[in-house]
Amino acid sequence: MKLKGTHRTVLFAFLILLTLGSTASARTTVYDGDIEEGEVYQLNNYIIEITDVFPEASTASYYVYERDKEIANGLLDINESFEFDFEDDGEVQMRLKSVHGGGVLPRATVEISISNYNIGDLYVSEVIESGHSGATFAGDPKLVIVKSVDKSEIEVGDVITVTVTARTTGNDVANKVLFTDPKQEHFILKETTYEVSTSIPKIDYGQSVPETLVYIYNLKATEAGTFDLRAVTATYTNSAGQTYQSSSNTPSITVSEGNKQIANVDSLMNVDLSSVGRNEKITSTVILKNTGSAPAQAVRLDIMVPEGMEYVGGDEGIETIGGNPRIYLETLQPNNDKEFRYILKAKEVGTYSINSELSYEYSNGVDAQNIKQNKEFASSRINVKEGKFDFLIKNPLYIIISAIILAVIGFQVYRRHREYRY
Amino acid sequence: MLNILVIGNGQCGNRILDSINRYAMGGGKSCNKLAKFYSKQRFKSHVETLAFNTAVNDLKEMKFTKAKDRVHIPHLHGVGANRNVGKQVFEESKEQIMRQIEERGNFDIAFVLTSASGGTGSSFTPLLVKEMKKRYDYPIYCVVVLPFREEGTLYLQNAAFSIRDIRQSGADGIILADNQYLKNIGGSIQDAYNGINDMIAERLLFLLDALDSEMMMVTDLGDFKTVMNGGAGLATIGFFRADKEMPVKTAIQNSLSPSGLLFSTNVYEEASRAMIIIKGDRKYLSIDDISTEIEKLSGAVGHVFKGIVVCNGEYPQILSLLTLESAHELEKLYHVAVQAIHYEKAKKQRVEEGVEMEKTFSQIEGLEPEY
Repeated sequence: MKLKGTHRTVLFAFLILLTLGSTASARTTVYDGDIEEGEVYQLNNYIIEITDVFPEASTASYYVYERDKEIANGLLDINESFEFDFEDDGEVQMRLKSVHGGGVLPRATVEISISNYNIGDLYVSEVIESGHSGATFAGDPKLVIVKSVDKSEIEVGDVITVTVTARTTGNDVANKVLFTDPKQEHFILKETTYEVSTSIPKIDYGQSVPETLVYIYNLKATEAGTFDLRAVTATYTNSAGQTYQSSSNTPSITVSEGNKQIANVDSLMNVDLSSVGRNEKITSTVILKNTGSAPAQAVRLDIMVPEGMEYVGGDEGIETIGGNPRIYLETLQPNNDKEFRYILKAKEVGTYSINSELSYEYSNGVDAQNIKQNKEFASSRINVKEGKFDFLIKNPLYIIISAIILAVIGFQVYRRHREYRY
Repeated sequence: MLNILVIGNGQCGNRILDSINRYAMGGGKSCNKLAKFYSKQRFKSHVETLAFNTAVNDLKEMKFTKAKDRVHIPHLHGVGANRNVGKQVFEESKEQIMRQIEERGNFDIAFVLTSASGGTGSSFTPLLVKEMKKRYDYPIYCVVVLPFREEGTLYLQNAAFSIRDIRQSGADGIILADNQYLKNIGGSIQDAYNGINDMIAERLLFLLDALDSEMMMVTDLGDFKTVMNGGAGLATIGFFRADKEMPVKTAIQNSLSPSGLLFSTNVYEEASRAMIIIKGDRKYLSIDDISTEIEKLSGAVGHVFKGIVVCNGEYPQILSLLTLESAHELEKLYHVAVQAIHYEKAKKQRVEEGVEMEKTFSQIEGLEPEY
């Protein structure tokens, strides 16, 4: 019997290989051989039992079970067949090819084929010599993962405790359970109190089986808003080695601003004149003010002097980088302001505004990293008109006339000086 | 147009001359130092100015007189208040001095400004006037400044002899100004000197302008000469410039009062002839007031010439020229000067007695000490 079984297994494997990759709709023979009276053929959770073989009548009777539930029975003549639905969309057909009475027990030669089914999904396809009682069935383990939080309404910087448990509610054990808990945006992981080992070999099912503790950890909220925690997923197999996947719920957490600190630095730039003549000077006043609640650090204001203007000089705290003034403060405390003055000279006629780029960083008291801020500002418009003496450049005649007048005056002064010098 | 020559001799004469040139540039006492670069003297007449001095530093101090009009007569750095040395220097440089005058052309009248007490001015002026009278026929009047009485014996005796020499030099008249009388101007010595110089300059310039002005009532050079011919050849000038609206009568009285005169005199007792020149806006010049005051003055001094110059918008300004038949103040000066001369003489005698001391020392001549 053993040898026969081995042959059947090899044959089964061969047939599997032959039919692997075939389309689901095609009919595939999964077994063509003998089944003794009282033996069963198991296809996954389905059992085809040959209950009686009548060599004299060339008939054989059968029962079909899904697990222990009978779903069909009948009597077949030679070359007669029957079909039953298999799992979701599959259909199994068994044809009685011949009956034999020469052995200890009569046997039937049958051909079992399956259609509209992926052969690769068959995890059991064999003759069970010990009959129906000797069949082993695989269930569908349903792993229920629960992600719970101790608080659902918190403030930025508050910590919540997340607990993840799992329980199998299906009809099979879950094997090789592997949990995955993705990183959570808007939160940082403060502390992990408990974490299940890499993979749980087996989680039993049933009401009496206690929940399995998967994770306990603390998350710290870093940003205000309403966020759904990401689901914990688990992959596992049933007793037949089929792979399953489950996801947990996604608890919603509402995070309010709360005590999160912020530095808010603004730059107010004024000029003493909105209209100047060419070559005249303008004094600009810059006030850096922190209206936030946190100290601003590394406060830097780069003032972009327009091309038609020139930086002349400024207060002690202003340095010059590439011809442009820069103001740098190590720290600007909340509700503090600093005032700086600098002078520009109008070189060319035109309308200008002085742009500036402000950058600073601060700690909001929650995040580990400082928060960096960049802002841009622009002054009111400055109209540079022609200078008092620009007309001289436009019309050199004025210069000549002026030079002549000066020369005459100079000559007169010299002449008088000579007249009166003693 | 009159041709007028004004000569300043010595430090005092130079300063008054410079002050005249400054006033002539406009702006009066507050004339800007730089005015010479953009302005020029505006005399009504053709006026030539000449400054003579043996001290070059005094010439350098002058700021408003052209360099060509500043003539240095080389002799160390002055004559040291010694009139004898001054006379000698003049004689040595006479041709140089006269050539300078000659080069300036011919004139209708000349004024020589000098201190009576210094070295160069007091010694040059009599000799210069004498020489000019020999060569030219125009009248020459000297404006002579008398010293502060406490300035010292040398100055006092210089003043005494200088005034006498000027009178004898042929000068057509001497207009006196007295530092002693004017020192009530106050302030520092420098301020007093500057103030005196400015007062004299302002009066002379007023006079020069008036002699060449179109007048409502005329006085001219002829009248001036007539006035100056009167009396003892001595004269002085009074002046008053109203700085607010006031009756012309009051202005005339002020010009004849001690505060208006350059020399202390009792006008109504010592004056011989007078010339009153009145300038101002027509509305201030009441003919009745003027006549009343002139009559009052002429009743005391004899003849009074009057001239009126109308200047729109100006308050009354009065210049009074008075010749004196006697000068009590001058007599007092000579009295003090005589004392000074005696004092200097006694001092010289004491020095001579010092020669006797030489005899005392000569007793040990040829002897050596023995130890």
